[in-house]
Amino acid sequence: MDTIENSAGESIVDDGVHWLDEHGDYLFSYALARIGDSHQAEDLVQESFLAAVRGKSGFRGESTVRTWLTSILRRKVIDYFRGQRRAEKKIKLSACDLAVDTAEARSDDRIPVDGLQFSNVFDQCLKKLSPAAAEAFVLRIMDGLGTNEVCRTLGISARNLSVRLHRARFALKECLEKNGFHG
Amino acid sequence: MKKFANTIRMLLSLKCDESHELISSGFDKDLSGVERWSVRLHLIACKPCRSVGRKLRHLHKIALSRSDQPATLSAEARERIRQKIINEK
Repeated sequence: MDTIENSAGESIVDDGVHWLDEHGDYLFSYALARIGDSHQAEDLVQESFLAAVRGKSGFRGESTVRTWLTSILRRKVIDYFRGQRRAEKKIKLSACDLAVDTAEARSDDRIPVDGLQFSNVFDQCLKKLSPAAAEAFVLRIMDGLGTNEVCRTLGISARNLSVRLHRARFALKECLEKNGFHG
Repeated sequence: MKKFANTIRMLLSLKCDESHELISSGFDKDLSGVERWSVRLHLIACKPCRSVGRKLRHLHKIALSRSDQPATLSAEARERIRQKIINEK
């Protein structure tokens, strides 16, 4: 291994490469479980590492590097859902006669389970949620954040969060049951 | 008066979808006394709703076990990201 040069740019990049070795799989697992698409998950992990390297001063040593990197990635995941919501709005505008609740409407179709594993079924069910319901569920249940923190992070009221979580829970429950996962 | 009437209605004739909403909310906050009793009384009369709480707990467990499942970055993706990081020099 070559000696690390002293220029700040080099050492940050070396840190970045080291972080990729140490935490790359963990961050990929995190993103994949939440958005259910491996290519998108890879992209979000890449963006997170680049953001981390560019803004290393953001790491103040108050948490572990993994926690810090995960918080950057969580922000990317939320941005991803936000993009999905924008795309969804466009679709709704172009078909505005379809005034249906997307969270419920999308949970209707059955996923072919033959040979698919549990995580694939869960991922598909999560993807069928409206992005608004999915991001609430991901932050509250999968990340285990408190309700106040989720409301703050998403900029929504407690009432709105409650509605989103209710929709997410029941649409997911229904979808999993349709695909053979009974509670 | 309106609030009182609504309290009585909740206690005596909560609808299934209202009980679902309250059961879901119960995972995120403490329910009020009226809300708790409304659900309890509804569950005495409504067999299908009785399993809802257990099913949602099961769903949360499934979601957590999904989020614990390890995955591995493909060699190509890892290399691509490594190059991008190095290009930041």
